[in-house]
Order: sequence, then C-alpha cells, then structure tokens
Amino acid sequence: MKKRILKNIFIILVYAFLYLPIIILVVFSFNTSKMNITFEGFTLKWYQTLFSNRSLLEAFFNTIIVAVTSTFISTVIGTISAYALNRYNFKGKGFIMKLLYIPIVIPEIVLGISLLSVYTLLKLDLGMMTLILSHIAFSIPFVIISVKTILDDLNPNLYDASKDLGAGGLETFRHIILPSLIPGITSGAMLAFTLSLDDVVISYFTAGPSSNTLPLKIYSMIKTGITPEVNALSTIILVVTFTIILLFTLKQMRSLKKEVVR
Amino acid sequence: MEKVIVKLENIKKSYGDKSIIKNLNLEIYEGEILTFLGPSGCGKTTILRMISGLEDATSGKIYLDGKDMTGVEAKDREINTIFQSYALFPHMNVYDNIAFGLKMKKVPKEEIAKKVKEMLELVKLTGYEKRKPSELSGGEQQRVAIARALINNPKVLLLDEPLSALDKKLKKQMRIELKELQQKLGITFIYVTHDQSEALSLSNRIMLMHNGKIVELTTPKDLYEHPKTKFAADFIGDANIFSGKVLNIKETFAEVLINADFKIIINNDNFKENDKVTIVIRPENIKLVTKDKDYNTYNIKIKSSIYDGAYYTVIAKMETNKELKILLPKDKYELLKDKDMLKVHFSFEDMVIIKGER
Amino acid sequence: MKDKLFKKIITIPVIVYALVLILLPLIYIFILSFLKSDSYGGVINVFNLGNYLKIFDMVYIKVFVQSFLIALVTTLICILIAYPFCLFISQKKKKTQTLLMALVILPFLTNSLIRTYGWIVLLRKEGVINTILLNLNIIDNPLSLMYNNLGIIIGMVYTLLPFMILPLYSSISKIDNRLIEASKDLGAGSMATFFKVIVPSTVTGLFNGSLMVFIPCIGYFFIADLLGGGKLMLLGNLIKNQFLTARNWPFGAAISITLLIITFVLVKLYKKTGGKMDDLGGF
Repeated sequence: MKKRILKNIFIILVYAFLYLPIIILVVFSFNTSKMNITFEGFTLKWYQTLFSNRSLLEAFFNTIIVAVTSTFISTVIGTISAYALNRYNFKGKGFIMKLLYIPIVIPEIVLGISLLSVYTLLKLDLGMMTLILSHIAFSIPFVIISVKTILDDLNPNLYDASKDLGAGGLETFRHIILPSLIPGITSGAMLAFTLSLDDVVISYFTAGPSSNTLPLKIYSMIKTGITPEVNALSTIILVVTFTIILLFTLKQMRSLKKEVVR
Repeated sequence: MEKVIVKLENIKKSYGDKSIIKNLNLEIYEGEILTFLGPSGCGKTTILRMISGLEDATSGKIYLDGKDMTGVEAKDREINTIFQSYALFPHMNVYDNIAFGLKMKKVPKEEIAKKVKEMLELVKLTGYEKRKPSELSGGEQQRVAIARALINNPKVLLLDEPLSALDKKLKKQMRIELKELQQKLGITFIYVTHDQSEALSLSNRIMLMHNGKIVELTTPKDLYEHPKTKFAADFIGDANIFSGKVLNIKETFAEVLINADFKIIINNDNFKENDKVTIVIRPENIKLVTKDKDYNTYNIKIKSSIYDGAYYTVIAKMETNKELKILLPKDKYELLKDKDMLKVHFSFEDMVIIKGER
Repeated sequence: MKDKLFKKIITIPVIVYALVLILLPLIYIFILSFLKSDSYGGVINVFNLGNYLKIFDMVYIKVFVQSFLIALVTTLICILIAYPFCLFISQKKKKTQTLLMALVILPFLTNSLIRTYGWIVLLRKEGVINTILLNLNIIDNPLSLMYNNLGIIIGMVYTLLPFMILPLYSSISKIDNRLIEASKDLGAGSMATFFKVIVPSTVTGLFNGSLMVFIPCIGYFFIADLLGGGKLMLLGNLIKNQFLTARNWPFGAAISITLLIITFVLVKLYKKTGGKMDDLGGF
C-alpha cells in the first residue's frame, strides 16, 4: 500500500516537471505586471499588443505556410516512397534505405549546416523556398517510417488478391493499399506538422534574413529580454496545437470505438 | 478422353541458383479437383502461383484452354485464387470485396449488383453485404473469398491451403461445402494443401510432390492403397514400413530379410536374389491371430496405446525389437487378455510391395 | 508493361530525395571540411587536414569534453527518471497507461523554444522559484539556477525526457508478464527479478533512448544559449559560430563530420545490441 503511494507520488512529480513551465507561461500571459514574477492581476493587454505587432504576425503566418506546405509535400512523397520501398526492389535500395535514417539520427545542427552549405553551393537564395525545402528534408523519413510500418504489417496476399482480381499496379495502390494506410499517413502528417512547427535548429540556418518564422522570432525576443507578449504568443500556439491534437485523438477514439462495438 | 483445361509443359522455376521446380509436365482436366500435396517447400504453391500468373516460370509454357499464357498478366487470366487466410480487403465490406473484380473490369453497376446478389445466394451469405471482414467468422470469410473469386467466372479456381486457418470441425464442414460447390458449378479446382486427409477426402486426383518433382499422380484411393514409392506410403496415412533385401526365392514366394532374425515372405514378382524391397503395411491391416499361420506370424508385446474414440492406436514391440503400429477397434482391444503375448499376421493381400529403394 | 512504368514513377521521388537532400549535403560538407577558409568568410579550394588538426587544440578539446559530459549527465538523469516512471506506469491498467503516455507526449508537440522559455521564467534570479523561496524565507539570497551548467542540464533533461520515456516504455510494456512470474516461481526475489529479467529485456529500449537523448543534446545550441547564458560552449554552439559568426565554414564542417562519425559509431553499437532502426526517433 505504502509502496503504491510512493510510486504514484513519483509519477505525479514527473508530470509536474513536464507541465510546470507550460502552466507558468499560460498563467503569466494574463498577468498585469510586466515582470513575470508574481501574479498581480488579470489582463488581456498582452494579447492586444501581440495582435498589433506586425512582424510577429508575419512570422506566425510564415510558420503556418512552411508547416502546411512542407507537411503536404513530405506526406505525399513519403507515402509514395514507403509504398515503393515496401513493394519493389531496385538497384541501390539498401543504400537509399540507410540514407533515410540519417536525418533521424544525426544531430539537427549537422543537417542544418549541410543544407545551408548546399544551398550556397547551388546559389539558392535563402528564404521561404529553402526553408520549406529543409523542412521537407527532415520530415520525409518520419512519414516514410510511419507509413512503412503499416505496409510491412499488411497481408502480402492482398497485393496478389488484387492483381488476381484484375487490378493493375496503380489500381491496387488506389483501391486496396491507400485506404489501409490512412492511419499511418495521418500520423506521419501529424508528425511532420509538429516537427515543422517545433523546429528551431534547422530553420535557424536555412531561413535567411528575409523570412522569419515564429520560433526564430521568439528566439530573438527571448534573447533580448522577457516580455509577457511572448507568453501570450506561446499560449496561443499551445492552445492551437492542443486543439488540433485533441480533435485528432477524439476522431481516432471514435473510429476505434466503432471497431470495438462491431 | 476428358478435355485438358490447363497444361504445363516443361516448367522450370528457380530463384537464383536455387531450383524450385525441376521440369514439370502436367495436364489438368476440365471439371476435376486436382490436389497438389506435399510437405512445405516442395514447390506446390509456386506451381499454383505460376498458373495464376502471379509468378513467371523460368522456362516452359503454361496453356489455359489451349492458349499460351506466356506474357499474360495475372489480371488478364481467366483464373482466380482463394488465398491462404483469404486476403479479404479489410477496409471494404462484403459487397465491395465481392464486387471488386467486376469493378476492375468496368462492368456496369446494375450488373455488378445483380451478380453480387447471385454470389451471396450461392455461398449462403445473403444479408451480409454491409459487414466488414473483421466482423465475420472464419467460415464466413472463406465463403466471401469464394464468392469474390467465382464472380469473375473463372475457368479454373485455385485454392491455396484454403482451410488452414479454420478449426478442425469447421474444416470438415467446409470440405463438404467445397466439394458440393464444385460439383454444382463444374469448375476445375486446383487445390494446394499439406494435409493428406484433406487431399484424400476432396480430390479426384492427387499430385504428390517432393523437392520440386512429381512423386505420384493418381487417385486418392490408388495413392493410399497402392503407393508406388516409399515417400508416398510414408506421407499418406500411417504406415509400417520395412526395407530389406530378397534372401531367396521359393517358386511363387520370395523371402525378404529385414534384419537379423526378421524375415517377411512376399509374393514373388520376378525378383532376383539381393533385390531391394520395401514392404508397407497399414496399421489397420495388421491382424491379431491366436495360432501361427503358414507364414509371417510374429510375436509382439504391447508397449503403449492411445485411445481415440472408436479405435486404439497401439504401439507394439516385435521380438526383433522393431516397433509396429496397429490400429484396433475399441471392443477388440479392450477384450485382449495377455498384452505381452500376442501374435500378428501379415497377409499377402495386406502388404504393399515397393521394388527398389525409392 | 504499364506496371513497370508505374514502378519507375514511384521509385524516383525517394531516390532523388535521398541523393539530393541527404547524400549531397553530407558529401559537400565532407569535402568542405578538407578545404581552407579565407579571412572574408569565403572558401579556398586547397586540400588540407588543418581543420581536423585544429580540433585537437586544447580550446576545442575542452568544448568536446564539456559537450559530452553535459550529454552524458543528461542521459543518466533521463534514465533515472524514465526507468522507474515507465516501470510504475506499466503496472497500471491498460487504459490508464494509454492516457498517461499521451500526457507525456502532449507537451512535446509544442515548440521546444516556448517550453525553454517557460523554464527561464521559472529559473532566473527574479524567477518564480527564487521568489517563492525568498518569500518563504527558506533562502536569503537567490539561487543561481540558470546561466550555468545546472540550467543547461535542466533544459536538456526537460526537452529530451520523452525520447527516453517512449522507447523505454515500449520495451518495458513488451516484457512478457509470464517471464516475471516464471522468475518469481523459480525463487527469485523482486531485486533479482528486476536485474536478471526486467533490465536485460529492456537493454535495446534503454540504448535507443540513450541514443535519442545523447545525440541531440550535443547539438541543441539554443538551450545552452538561453539557459546557459552563453557561458558554456557546447559543440552545437561551436558549429553554429563557425558557420554564422566566425564564418569559418571548413572548420565548422570538420567539427560536424567528427560529430557525424561519433553518431554513426553509437548507432552501430545500438544495432549490435539488437536495436532496430525503425524504432529510433521515438515515435
């Protein structure tokens, strides 16, 4: 009995550690004092100043554009690639597969500077283009893995059955494989999206001076000093991400429940 | 002569250096159930996949209804397959699964609906249209797989271990259903299994395979009662198998030496001394006797027995230490008194003689 | 025939991607690492090993040692927190487990900078923790909780903890309960069961987690910047400075290549212990 209580206390402490900074941020975003030390009164003024801050809003939209575009492209390429890797053998496939793990295991900073170097080599101007390209670069392997896991678990006879019943390669992919992959594709896309929103390191090197994303903007704001505006902005981002995740989870739970009921 | 529907001519198949099928020739008749039987890895599924077009032969030709199938893809062959564990499309309901083949052929919707309805009636699943495969029992899934294949009106239906995923009782029931269905439709079935009892009960002919070669191709009855190879005798059913050499020949009989004191007399069939001979006796054909017969009477002791409802399978030891498997009806076994002093007799008609060592 | 074309079309994207966005950049910095920089931030095409020799300067060796120490301490603390945490969680009901794991992942789906910023609010001299402790008269002078190694380690542990928890939890929850029962049945006590049965069956999960904590830890320059106050130079900061401030790209490339080699060695070790590549990445 005593042991169980101690165990639960430990678990609670870990969660406190995980959530403390987030809760503090949210709470102080409503604080009248600029100092972020003690809570003096409730206000929404930081949210107001936030919305009149044009460069911050611009950064926010940039972030969304980068995240949406890179998620879309990397999900499409990742899904097709996972299918190709699962289904076909081609020359150098083993080598390509090894390369795919590199963005996942190497330190982000190495990927960041090497992409920066290549853009310079190819004389690409740093900006939204290079930023999106870099986000695609680190997202694709994650999409491939989450889709491939499902593909590897699919009954290999499904391909044969489809062929046997008169379907060609494209038709098999469209009618049989793609529908089964939906969960893997959504989780891959979710992963790509959050990775893109979260990324600091790679964006730091590949964004260039002209295009600012939110993480970069926040980074420079924090370095110059703490203001509750940043809290307000963080709170908004938190709420947005949590809402997306909640909707996604609810949807999944509902479809799961359906399965169970059946 | 019956019409040949599928013909395999000098088929060879190898993966890299590994040869799977070694020059196979086979004619399959219209309307028969032919079973490919053999241990796993004998190449039976590979042949099936070559017939369906899912795999190409390394060399040789396959004809369907007289037409050369070389270069014809699986999707364009009038052959369909019931896959192992069925491979029903998990995200589609029963209706869409069955309709899939016709949809691929761009058949008009109304016609598809009509055909699916017919198929559901055929496999007794009317009313199951909206269910997903995960909501069906094993037997129901099997029937959907059958309907999904048959709706395409194939000339030949291939069945790849279709009953392996079912429990024992359902297996027996589905055997009967399959056989009835085949008789009703008259379509050629090519059936792959490693289960000899399934093969015996279902087939018109059995092709027994080993290491990519045909061992025997004949009717189930012939295969069981008159195996021509040691492998067939051993693989099909239970058998006591003795290998030895002809010791001497006395007019119409030959005496075969199995080991030291163990000799068996068999009918002389143009034997010479020292010819190698294999003698097969099914457990149910070994008779208990009270008195010595003119020939082949042996003393045995019962070592152990397994009760199996109507029968006892008895393991007995001969005086020469050889073990003998005997199948005894329940009442007969339970009436036995002295289980240490019994006699058995191998009669000529109960022994199958295989010349040579094959 | 049409199928062959389809195959070609769908295999091309992954090949192009892997070669252009992964291999080419790495090859380029590899080449770069053997070139020379001029004093204006440009690159001179002269082959030399000078960049690699420079790493052996005491100044830079110190950076390597500091980085690895921080990464090592972070990894160890993550294990110490994550192992009991996962073990305790795995004893809960299956439904509770799913919920609790979702709660672990949730905060990490938001921006890591924002979370780091939260720690600044908590840890700085006039921060929440110091204020509370001062007001309660537990301390007389504010504690230095950040702008030092402590701050960096807190930030790193916080940011990377889920990457330890996720693989560890998945390997702990995969332990066949019958193994534990068998061990107890055979007379092993709780301690013996833990060390002889549970720990050995989680080695790959442990290694996986350590890899996913250790490697990023070396590169997260922004945590060292924000919570370390720029006092402590980590490898990530060094590389960043070479590329953006000092503009000595060849030297930055040489450090990156060294870091890459170390990463590959660690991954090789992970695979040797039976780890699967697909399990890396934590998700």
